[in-house]
Amino acid sequence: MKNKLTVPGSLAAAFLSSSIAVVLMGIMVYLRGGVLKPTLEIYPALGTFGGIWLYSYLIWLVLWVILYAVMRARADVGSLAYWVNFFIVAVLLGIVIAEASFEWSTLFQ
Amino acid sequence: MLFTITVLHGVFALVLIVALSWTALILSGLFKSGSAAVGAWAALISALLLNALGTYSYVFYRLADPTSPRSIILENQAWVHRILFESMEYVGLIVPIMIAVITAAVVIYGRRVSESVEISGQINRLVYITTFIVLLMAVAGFIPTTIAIAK
Repeated sequence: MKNKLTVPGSLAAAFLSSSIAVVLMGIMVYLRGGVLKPTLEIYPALGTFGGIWLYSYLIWLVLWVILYAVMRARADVGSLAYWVNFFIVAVLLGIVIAEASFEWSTLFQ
Repeated sequence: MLFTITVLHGVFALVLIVALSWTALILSGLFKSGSAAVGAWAALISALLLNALGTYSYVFYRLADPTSPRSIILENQAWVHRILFESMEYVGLIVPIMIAVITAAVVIYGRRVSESVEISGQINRLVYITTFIVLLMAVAGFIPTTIAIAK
């Protein structure tokens, strides 16, 4: 009997592309003052924010399109609980990586 | 113009919170009428507009000028920019992605969302977490704005 909570490939593509994008976004934020600075400064008025904004959304949308094309024919790609948990972990990871780059020492100045 | 954009930025933040709350109430079954898809789409559109307006006003926020909000905040309360504003700036970018996933789930499952408590419950977990992050980001953005206006 088919599980009611199975995730079709089209939805798994959304979960997977979004999970990868949020983690990559966190990494870009973390490296914005270092090696990625020249790459991310695409518009001087926005600083590195412009590059993070553009590249992370571009990566997300391109990944979503590619993964959708690859996975859409699959009827069952795991359970909904699994993908929701997977995405929540990715979001928390992206946030922690981004927050780790902030100047927390200024709290005590 | 900038003032109008900033006010609209705040208005869309409020619309986003209302749309997410509305979606959560429908998914939890507390609201019997209404469509979770409409709530999710409204949240997605307001998140994208919020994002676009915020990016526009950010150009003026960070002007290399001693009277720009960023300069004023850095001079008076550096942590407010370094932690609060930067959290809103970067973590806020994740919000439209989270809402897009919620919208995709609601649209793809269609009628099954209202028929299956398990499906609506799992999607609602994402809605609750997204709402919590949006509320945190709203506070993180409101404090620097208030300081800049007061100074």
